[in-house]
Amino acid sequence: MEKYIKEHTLKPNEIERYGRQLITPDIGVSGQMSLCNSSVLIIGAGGLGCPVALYLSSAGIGTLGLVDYDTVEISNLHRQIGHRESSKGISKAVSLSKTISELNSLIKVNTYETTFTSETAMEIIKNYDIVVDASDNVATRYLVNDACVLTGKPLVSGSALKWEGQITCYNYNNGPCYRCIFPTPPPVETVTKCSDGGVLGPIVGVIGSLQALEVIKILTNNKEGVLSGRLLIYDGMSAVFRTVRIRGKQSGCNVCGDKPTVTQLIDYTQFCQSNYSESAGKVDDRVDKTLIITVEQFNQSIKNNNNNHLLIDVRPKIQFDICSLPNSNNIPIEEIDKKESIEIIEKLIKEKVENNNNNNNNNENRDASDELSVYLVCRRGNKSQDAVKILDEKLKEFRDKFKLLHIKDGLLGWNESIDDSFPIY
Amino acid sequence: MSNQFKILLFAKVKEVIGKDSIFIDLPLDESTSFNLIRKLKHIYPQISSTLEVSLLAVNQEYISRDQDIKINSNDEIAIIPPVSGG
Ligand SMILES: [Zn+2]
Repeated sequence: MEKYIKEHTLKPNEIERYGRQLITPDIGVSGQMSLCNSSVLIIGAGGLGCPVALYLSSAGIGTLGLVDYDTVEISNLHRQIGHRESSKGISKAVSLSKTISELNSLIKVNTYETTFTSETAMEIIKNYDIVVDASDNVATRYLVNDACVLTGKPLVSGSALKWEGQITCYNYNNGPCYRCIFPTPPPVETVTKCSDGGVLGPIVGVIGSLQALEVIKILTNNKEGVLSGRLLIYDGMSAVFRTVRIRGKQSGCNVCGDKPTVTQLIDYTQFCQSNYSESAGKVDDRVDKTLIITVEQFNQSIKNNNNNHLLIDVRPKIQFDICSLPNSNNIPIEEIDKKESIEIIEKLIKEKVENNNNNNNNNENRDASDELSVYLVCRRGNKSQDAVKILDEKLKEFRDKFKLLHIKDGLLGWNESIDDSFPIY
Repeated sequence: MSNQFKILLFAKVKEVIGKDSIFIDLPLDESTSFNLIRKLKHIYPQISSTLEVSLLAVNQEYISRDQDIKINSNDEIAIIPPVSGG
C-alpha cells in the first residue's frame, strides 16, 4: 500500500519550505505549482529590484532573470538590501543572484550584466512570463513598456523617489499600458532622479514588496484583485496610500492601440532625450566658454588671490549642510532668480568691489587680475550653468565690475582632481 | 461667488511648489478642469511643463486632459506627475 497520496509534483522539501504560503487562501497547491513553474524578468537590481527579487525567490518562482549593467557601490546599501559590503565593485545582477542563491537554492537565476536596450530587450524578454520594471530612468520605462506590449507580457511597474512611491500593472488582462497613461515622456528638466532628490530604503522596500505581491497574484491567477487600471500612490511621510482609477486601454495609444505607430522597438534615448541610466556622468557645457572655469583653474586662482572672489554654492540647503567649500555662500538654484537673492548677491559684490578699491588705493600696482571673480558651484557643474546664465542676465548693470564663472564638474570634480577628502554623496 | 478647490500635489509638483496641497479659487461658472489647469499654470509657471505630462484625478478618478469637465468645490483633485526613480 502507498504511504501517502499526493496528486501533484511538489516535492516534500518544497512543501516544507513553502508551507505557510501553500496553506494561504487562494494560493494552495495549484498556486504554488504555478509559481514554481513560472519565470519572471526583473529590470534593475537596485532599490526596487532587490526586494522584488528577494521576495520572489523566497516564494519559489522557478526562474528569475536579473538585468543590471551597474556595479555595487557603498552608497547603494542603505536601500538596496540584496547587496552586501563584500559585493562592492561587482555586478549588481551577480551580487543579487549570489544573495538569492543563499536564500533559495531550489530556483534558477539568470543574470544579464548589460544595459536593457532596444537591441537587447527582445532577446532577453522572450524567455519570461512576466516583467517587473524596477528601473530608475524614463527611457528604460518606455522601452520596457513597449517591449512588453510587443511580446504580450504583463508588466508590474514600480517607481519611487524621496518619501513617495507609485505602483501599477500595465498590459494586463486588456488593461492600459504605460503609454496609455503617460503618452509623452516628461521634459528632461522636470525629472528628479534619486541621486538628486534622495530616496529612503523603506519606501523602495514598500513599493518593491507590493510589486512582488502583484507578480504572485498574476501568476496564481488571482485576477480580480490585480492592480491594473488603478495607480497606487504611497506617501510615506504622511502614511497615506491612495488608489487612483486610471483610464483603460486607449484605442489611440501609439503602441497598444488599434493602429499602433510603434510596431518594433525604437530608440528610447532619443524619444525621451535621456539615457538608459540614472547616473549622470559628466555634464556637457551649455554656456559660453568665457563663463567656464575648471576646478584646477579655480583652485589656482583662489590660491593666488584668495580674498578677491565670491563663491556662490547653488545646491539645495539640505546638500550644502553636508559639506561645502570655505567661504561659500549658499543660494539655492530655485531661489537665485528671486529679487531677494539678487539683492543679496549685489550687496556681496559691492562689498567686495569696495574692499578691493580700498586695498588698491593703498597699493599702486593695480592690474586687471585684481578684478573680482564671482564663482558658481554645485554638485556636478550642471545647475551652476543655469545659475551663470541667470546671473549674467540679472546682474547686467554690474557686469563690468566682475568676472562671472561657473565651476565645471562642480564639487564632484573638486573631489576627483583637487581634494579627495571632500565628502561626496 | 467662487468655488475653492483643494488640490493634492505629488512628486515633482509637490517638490517645486513646496507644499503637499494648495487651495485654488475659481468663479462658480468657470469651475472646470481646463480653467483649473490654466489658473495653476498662471500662478505657478514653474510647474507648467510638468503639468503637461501629469495625471489629473478628480475624486480618485482619472480625468482625460482632452476634455473640459465641470468640477465641484467638494471634489478631491490630485495632480500626479510620473515618477521614474527606483
Ligand atoms: Zn497603451
